[in-house]
Amino acid sequence: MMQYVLAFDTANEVISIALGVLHAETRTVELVAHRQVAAHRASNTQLLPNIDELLTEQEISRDQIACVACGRGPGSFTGVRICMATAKGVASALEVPLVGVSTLDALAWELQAAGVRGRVLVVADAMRKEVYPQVYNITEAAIGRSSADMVVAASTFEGAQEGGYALVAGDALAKYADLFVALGPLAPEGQWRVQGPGLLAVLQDAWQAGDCDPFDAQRHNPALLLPVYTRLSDAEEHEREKLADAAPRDLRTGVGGNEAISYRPLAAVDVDQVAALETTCMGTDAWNAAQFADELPRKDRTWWAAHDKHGALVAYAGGQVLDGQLQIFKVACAPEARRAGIARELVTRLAEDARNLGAAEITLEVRAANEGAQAFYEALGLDSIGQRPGYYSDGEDATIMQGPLPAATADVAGMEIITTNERPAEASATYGKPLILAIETSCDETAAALIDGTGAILSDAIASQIDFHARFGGVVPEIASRKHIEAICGVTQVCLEQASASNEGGGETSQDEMPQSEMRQPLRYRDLDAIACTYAPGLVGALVVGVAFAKGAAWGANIPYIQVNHLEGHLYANKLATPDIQPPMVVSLVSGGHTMLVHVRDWGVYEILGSTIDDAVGEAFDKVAKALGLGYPGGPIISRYAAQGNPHAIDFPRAMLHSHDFRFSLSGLKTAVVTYIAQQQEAGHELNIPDIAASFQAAVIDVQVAKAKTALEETGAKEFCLGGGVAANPALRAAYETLCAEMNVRLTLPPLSACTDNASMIALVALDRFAQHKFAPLSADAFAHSNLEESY
Amino acid sequence: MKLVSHSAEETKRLGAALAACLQPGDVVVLNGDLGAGKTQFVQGVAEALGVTGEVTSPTFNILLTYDCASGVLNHFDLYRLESAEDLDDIGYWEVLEGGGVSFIEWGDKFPSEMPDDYLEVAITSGTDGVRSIKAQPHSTRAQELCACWGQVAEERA
Repeated sequence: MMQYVLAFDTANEVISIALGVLHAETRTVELVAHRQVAAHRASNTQLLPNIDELLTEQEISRDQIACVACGRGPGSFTGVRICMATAKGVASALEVPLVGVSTLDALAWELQAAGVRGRVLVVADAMRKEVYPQVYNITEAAIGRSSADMVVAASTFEGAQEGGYALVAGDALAKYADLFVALGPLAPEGQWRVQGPGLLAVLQDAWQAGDCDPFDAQRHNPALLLPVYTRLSDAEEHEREKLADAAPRDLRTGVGGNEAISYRPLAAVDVDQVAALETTCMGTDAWNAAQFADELPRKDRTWWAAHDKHGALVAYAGGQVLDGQLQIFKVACAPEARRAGIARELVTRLAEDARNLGAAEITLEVRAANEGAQAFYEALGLDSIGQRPGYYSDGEDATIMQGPLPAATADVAGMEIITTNERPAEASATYGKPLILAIETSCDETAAALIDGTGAILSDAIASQIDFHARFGGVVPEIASRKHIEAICGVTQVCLEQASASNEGGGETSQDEMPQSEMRQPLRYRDLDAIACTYAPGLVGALVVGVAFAKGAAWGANIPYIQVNHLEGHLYANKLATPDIQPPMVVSLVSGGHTMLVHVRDWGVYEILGSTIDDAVGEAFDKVAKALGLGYPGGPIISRYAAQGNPHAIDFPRAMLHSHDFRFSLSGLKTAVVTYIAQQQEAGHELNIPDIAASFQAAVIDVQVAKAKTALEETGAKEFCLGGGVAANPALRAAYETLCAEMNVRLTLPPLSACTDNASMIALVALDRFAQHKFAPLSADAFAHSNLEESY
Repeated sequence: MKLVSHSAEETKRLGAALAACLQPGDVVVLNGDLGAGKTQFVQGVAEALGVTGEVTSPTFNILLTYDCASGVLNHFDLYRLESAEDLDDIGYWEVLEGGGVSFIEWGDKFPSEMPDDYLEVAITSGTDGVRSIKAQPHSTRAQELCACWGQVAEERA
């Protein structure tokens, strides 16, 4: 069977797609078909439909795709992000390698194919009067790139050039042709943007040079590919200097692409390398190769190794599962590979295996003087429970450490992935069809969840970006949508792995799809029945990553794509707390971005009774906290101070309290608090922060509760629920408890994890939409706004 | 140029007067303290441009985009952003250069990231609740815009 590569690029306002045959024996890529489509700011809607059409035209099925290649830019941020998220989705679902290619190099190869020779300048538009320049020396055999990608001011770059280029090309000419005309003849407009064949040429060139292997799925794991970042963020620069790595970060990718570590079970071929490293790390207590070789075939053992990109073994770990305990024998890491999270990753693998072998605890010995190692294990949740005197051959004592198996965490692009397995153990291990993977990237968090046909959440994973930023020494950007592209593969993969781990024992789908074995195989995209994603409302740049990935994966797995309104997710989140909850109900949705009262007449039939006309409640808390100098986020801090203050101390306005409708306004209250603070400071009075916090909070709650009461009266609903992060406020909860008790209305207060953004709630909506066959086409997009009242 | 507003309604009317002069590609940077009325000002602009539906604070979402008769109205709020790199993340330059009309709240957080040609509007609130609105054009198109705004505001006063 022919094996094809599917290549595409959307970095420069056009969609370029190419299909080629991979010839492994000659390492050549033969062009089969290509197309270029204009797509000004619309690549998310047109990329997959065009890919699908091209394959249909060529009568090539998805199964014949052995590799995906995608343009990494440099180019438009949104364009590159859509291209890459789609490619990650397609490659993940097809379980094929994903190879990144330079958009500029692809264009250079197309110029080469058109017969251009000599020194050629390619300039891509980087916006704000900047360009991505690249000089090539194009010959019969090569394109001769001169430097790494960079971004420079168009005029500065032009001024520093001597000119005399054989040709100047690139989409920056659309804006700056005048600037570059002196440097050499300008290419015709048809040669400014990638057509498609160049993507295959870059792949072939890298293949022949040994820089890539389109058949090596491990080397080209879709999770590892990132856009070309022409500059690292300040935080990343800081981190890099701090670590002062011998092997610096690859500036071309912004991550340690060159240091990519692969993890696999320790194999017999590794034992000599292990023994050598053992001698370095363990001194007189080192095992020899024969001892390791003896370990590997034993059924109750788990051994894992980490290899660098050259295949050299850099770390290993192993242990035995006995009486429900994982006893770790060894964790060792080559000195030059330390402090990169490798040991932690290995222990995570051991823990996963041990969990599958029925263990619940972990135990090990560590040298009493080795405080670093003890701190590492303490961070994993282990405590020291005693000493073994003279345990080591040199007479040193061992500290015994013990604890629960570390929570399943995986390190994705430096982020902690926290997974909660919400499926109770007694819930039998059967997957009810359909199985749906849901993804949520509407703002700051990358999250995924898996649901089955019974409505059980099989797994729920979130890449907490706050942890990521904590790593960078207190630099805490509140928004980092580019992190979505770094986390999306890892979060979805962890989600699939967790789901299968939680289903130990087999079930209806596992009979034919997943062979019974001691260790369950992770769920695969092909086991799924649909993939869902939040499509609105939110920050479009963040939403598109989830949407493009979800659509790509759905296309790759040949299953439907379901789009879900984020706000509808918050309404459904109440099912997580009260499974038998039934409309009609009134839901108060209060978060950093939303403040509204919704009448849920039935699932899918919503009436927005009213919403804020200016600021959201969470935003008002944040801004008042900032005005008081209390830091971010404001909600928890304000409520903590408020608990000690007098809510009647200051009479802040209750905006819209008597407006006889359900609209809210927080802007006036915020202004009143800020003005009050300014007046007090001007008068030289010391601020009574508890009183201000309590009085502000009381003003917010009075209006919220009064409108909720009217809403319950008018609708006659007997269920009242909360959604959004502000639902964590204790005083607000208490006020609603009183109200609902008085009105004989059942109150649902979901746990905070269900109130804030999560993917489980998206999965719940998706399950209903699946039953109603509400599938979205490959041309579906992401939107900043959406009207909850309109069906979609 | 200096204008004065005595109420939220008047702030909105001044926004509406500016709206009458806006052309695709124009950028207005809105600076001012918390609660000065920046979002109200944009609400006035949006209403005059024919945006239907609520125009709310974009603090949480950072960017809200509205369709209107003359194209697109982009409303940025850079309050939550910590570093200039975040602007790349949100597609800031692509949106600014994408042909619509853009309003940027809290632009003074990133002075070096403002475009070459923009109108700076600073709203400051006095203790008596009166807002002073100061317009400072940067470059030629902004001068035209500022002059037009002053004229329309005067005609409607």
